Amino acid sequence: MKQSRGRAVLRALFTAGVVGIGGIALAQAAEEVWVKSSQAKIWQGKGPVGLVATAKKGEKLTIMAREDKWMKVQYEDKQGYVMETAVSPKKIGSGAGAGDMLAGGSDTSGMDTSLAGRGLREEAMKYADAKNLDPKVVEQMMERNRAITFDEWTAFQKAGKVGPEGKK
Amino acid sequence: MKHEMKTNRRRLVVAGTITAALLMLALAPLNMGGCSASTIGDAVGNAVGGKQGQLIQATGKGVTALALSETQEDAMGQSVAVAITNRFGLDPNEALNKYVSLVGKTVAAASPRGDVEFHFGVLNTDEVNAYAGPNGYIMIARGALMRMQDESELAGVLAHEIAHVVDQHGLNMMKVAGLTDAGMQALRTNADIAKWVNATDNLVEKLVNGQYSQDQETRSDLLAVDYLIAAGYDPRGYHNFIQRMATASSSGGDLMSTHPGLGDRANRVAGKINQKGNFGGATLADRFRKNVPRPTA
Repeated sequence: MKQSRGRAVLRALFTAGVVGIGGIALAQAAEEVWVKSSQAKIWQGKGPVGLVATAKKGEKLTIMAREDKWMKVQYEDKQGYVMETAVSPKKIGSGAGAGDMLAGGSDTSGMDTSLAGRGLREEAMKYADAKNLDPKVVEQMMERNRAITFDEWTAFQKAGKVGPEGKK
Repeated sequence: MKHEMKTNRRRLVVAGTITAALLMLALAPLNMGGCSASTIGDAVGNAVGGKQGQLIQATGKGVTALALSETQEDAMGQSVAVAITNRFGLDPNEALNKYVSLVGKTVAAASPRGDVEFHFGVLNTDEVNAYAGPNGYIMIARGALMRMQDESELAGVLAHEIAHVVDQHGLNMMKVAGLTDAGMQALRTNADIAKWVNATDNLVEKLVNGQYSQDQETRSDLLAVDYLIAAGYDPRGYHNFIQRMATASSSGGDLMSTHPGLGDRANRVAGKINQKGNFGGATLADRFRKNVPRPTA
């Protein structure tokens, strides 16, 4: 009886040790990176189709895997792919940083970058207005491109054996 | 009884020792991990940062870093697209536009800016040309599609335009044309829309009149070969198309008027392909014919 209790204690302690290692190993594997450009688009796969989310400069992403020049990341409750050039292993603030300075400074357009790319930007709208041009033509072009789903694109690549999905 | 107690106590001691050892083992990498991960991360970050810096600055001789932010570059791309699509109109064939977009996105994914949301469109004109606005607004004329024979040729022309975007040739053309850093900064404040309109018009005219430098055209041709190979397309398709256009031009046609020196360019592309030693990849003639209908006589 006492012997089996002792074994149970031994087993429990051993399990606790193993679980401890496992937990810490998991914590170690959760490498984090920060968005270094004004925004990082997170895509459904390794290419610009199927936008999952747009992370702003300074926001944290958790790396789940590295694949070629892409990282599979967790962002808030979403998962997707981001290009490694868009992030930094160093924590970055949300203000102007190296990435933006290279590109000429931080944004002053006042646009919500999480919505960036959803429609025509203010300057383009003003340009169209000033030149009396129809902005809907470009909006139609953009809508057509955004209507392409990741599944469609994947099927297209596989059928032609081209692109990141077709060459697998 | 006494023996049993001793045995159990010894087991507990052993168990405690094992657990302590396991915890130490577990904690040790945690500390080391913080240090080593940071060190490795720094190395990767520097490499990546350097690469990005090169992309931003490797834009032609004597041209320094750009003065537009990413969102402003996008706004300039959209403004250029507004001008060009209004000038020519978009081809109403949605299936054709979608096919071109699928090919373009496949090539773009193989470029160093594979995460840029590229937009592709077919212009409603029989001209043989293609245009690239900053940040991925690429428009190809239907006339160019009509002179292609397979998907690898289309992929090649789109790869060339994607390279112009990757290297930010449009924005640098504005700088070369005399738009100063101060002028670019003024654009960024958006205080005076007249300046923005003027800068956009300036760029559009240069694009339409084919005023990329020889260096920019050459670099885009060579990068296109890299992107095509990375995407799995036969790069010889691109060479075939340029060669065909060069032959047509020399026989008196006005094809690809905004892309001069086609013969030399075809030779340089052939040289790059030979250097790469890549003679495979997809051509997809059947899929191209299915998706790009020829006008009925």
